[in-house]
Amino acid sequence: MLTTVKKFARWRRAKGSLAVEFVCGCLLASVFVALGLHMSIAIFGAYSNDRACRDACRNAAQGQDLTEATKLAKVVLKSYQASSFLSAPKISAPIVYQDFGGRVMPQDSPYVQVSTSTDVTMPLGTLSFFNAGTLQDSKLSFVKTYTFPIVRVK
Amino acid sequence: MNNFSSQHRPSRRLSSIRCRNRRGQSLLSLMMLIFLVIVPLFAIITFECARLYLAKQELQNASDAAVLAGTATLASSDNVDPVQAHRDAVVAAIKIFKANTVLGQTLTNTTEVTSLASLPCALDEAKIFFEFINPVTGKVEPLSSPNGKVVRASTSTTRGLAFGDYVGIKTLNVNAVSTGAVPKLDLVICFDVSGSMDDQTPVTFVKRKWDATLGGGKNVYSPVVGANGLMQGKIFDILKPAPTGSSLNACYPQILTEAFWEAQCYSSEYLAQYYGVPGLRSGGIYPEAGKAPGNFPPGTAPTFDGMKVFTDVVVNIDGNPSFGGASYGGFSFPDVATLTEAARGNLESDSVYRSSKANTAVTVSPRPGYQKAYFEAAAKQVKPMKDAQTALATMTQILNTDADVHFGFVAFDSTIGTDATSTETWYDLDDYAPYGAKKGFPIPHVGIDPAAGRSAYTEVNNAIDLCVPMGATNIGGAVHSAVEDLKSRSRLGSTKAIVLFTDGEPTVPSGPLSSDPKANARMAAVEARDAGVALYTVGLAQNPAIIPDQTEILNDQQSDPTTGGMAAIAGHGGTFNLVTDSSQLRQTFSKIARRLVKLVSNQ
Repeated sequence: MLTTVKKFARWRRAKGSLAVEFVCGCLLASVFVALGLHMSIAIFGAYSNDRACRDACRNAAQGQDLTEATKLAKVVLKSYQASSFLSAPKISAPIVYQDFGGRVMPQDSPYVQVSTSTDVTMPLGTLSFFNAGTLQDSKLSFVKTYTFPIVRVK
Repeated sequence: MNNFSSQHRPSRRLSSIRCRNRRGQSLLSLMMLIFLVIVPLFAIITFECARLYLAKQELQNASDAAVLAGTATLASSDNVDPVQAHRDAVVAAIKIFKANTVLGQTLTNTTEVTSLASLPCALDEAKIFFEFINPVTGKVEPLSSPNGKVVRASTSTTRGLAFGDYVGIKTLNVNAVSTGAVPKLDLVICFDVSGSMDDQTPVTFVKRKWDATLGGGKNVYSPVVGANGLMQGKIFDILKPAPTGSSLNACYPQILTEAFWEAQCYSSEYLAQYYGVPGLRSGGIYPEAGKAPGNFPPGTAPTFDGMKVFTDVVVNIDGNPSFGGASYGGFSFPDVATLTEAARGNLESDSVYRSSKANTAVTVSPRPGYQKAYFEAAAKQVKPMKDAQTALATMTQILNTDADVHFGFVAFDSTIGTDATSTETWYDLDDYAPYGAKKGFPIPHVGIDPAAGRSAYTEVNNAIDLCVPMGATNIGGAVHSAVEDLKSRSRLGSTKAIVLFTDGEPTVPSGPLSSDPKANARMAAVEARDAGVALYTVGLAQNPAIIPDQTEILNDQQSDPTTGGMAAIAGHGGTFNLVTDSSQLRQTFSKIARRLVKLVSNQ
């Protein structure tokens, strides 16, 4: 009888270790899944913001003045829709439109500078990627600035 | 039964678990290896690759911006020295490159290198290498070559890896290559040579006659007072014409009778013909070199005293409203009397000097070349024509230095020439009287040549130099002609553009598209639009009164084909450039050159 109880207890311990093994494995896997998910979303956010900023800046550089440049930049940014994890990109700093009043020195180029930001909402909480971002309320904010020459000076 | 079961079931399972334990241990080890080493390593590599790809993308964008700035600077460079133009482009490009960032770090630590081999750089450093390529041969040209018109920048930067410390690779280098060029450009310049193109020229109206009461008699050169006061200074100020300007010209063809319509002052030869009497200039005899005033000897021709009458209009070759004396090419012109006699050719020899009675009033010694010297000096004062010619020549020179351009040229007044040697016939002194010699004055038309290497640069510059002010302003005819040239003779795949320069607005006579001058001009702009030709209009407003009309017909804002501006109607990026002073023309043409720039595909 005693032998039987011991054998049964040993069987239960073995079964328990299997469960622990399984739970530990799941926990580990879930950490990596979360990590991977956050990484993917963060990378996508950084790319999306970079592309939006570049397109906005290029378009703004076609403007004849600051007002038109701002309008052109906003038109481009409107084409970037928000999604579940990404906010729509927005202009994060005043646009710089430097045309030197039409009197450009030989070694200068008129330029326009556009900064955009995109917020990435992390589905599983507080992880931070890329030095460019700061985390607040599970949100990572990517900011990018591009400077493009104004070719069509008035 | 239950005991039996409970006795045997555990033992069977235990033996099974023992077997699993052995397999499980290795499986556990394998899982640990995967989860703790391989998956994180894979994640890190994926992350770093994505990060580096982002860095490369950002570097590519910074390079594109730099190259675009360089190309635009090169195309609009107000410098015909290729070395300096290329250096300016490089410096401007580097400034834009440095203003950008890669992975959140600025590119301010950028240095220019002289070879591709020097591109690899240290952590957080960036390097840039420029090449200028001949668009025809595809070969790299030295800075001193005017054929280096395509800008290529190779850039490189090194960034640290986020997990570099864990994987043993601390930095990685990313590179980008960008190319920029002014597109292959076929450009026709439409140049207004109408009579108003010399309205800012300083002149003096003179009444030359014989005065027998002075000593033994002598030539006198009286100042003339017209309806607007003393007739010396800029033509526009003397005559105060309509906003479209005056057809009276400082040099041949002068069309002297125009002064009556604007200042109620008669040309003596017009009056003489009107009354059927000998003229005061030289008795109505032409050519007039060696001829004394018409009233010598006294009584042979009326002097029209008491009336507003002039015989000559001479250019103040010193550039001042009131002539104070000048020298040109070794010839001395101390006073208006000398200008008048030199213009008539009475200082070419001692015999004409004496027979014209110039010797009674002019103190300089006659010698061959005086007349030529006067007209050369006068041509330099013909404004705004001279300023426009200089600015246009500079623009063609800049474009020829910095871009792959084939040029065409259409000079226009009321008519359009057919070839580079086309002329328009006018009496050189007055087409209304008429008086003077009937001569052909250049109205050149240089067609685009699509053949490789045939830019027609020299022909166009020669044509620009030949132009003299005369006639009216048929803008529509000129643009129509330019569009036809571009449609039939431009190069395959080229960007096509017209630069229209005018100091006025469309006037009669008009055609060939409409008898209404403005409709004619707008219809020509529609033709340009349909042919894919950008129209850059440059309106020189010599007086504020013309600005509203000029803006209405040349603007780039309203594209209605029946009421809009020509630049807007033609579209394709053309612009209207209003210039209120001819000194601004050079800068304006440089801006137009800059607008023609675009980024070509990366290679």
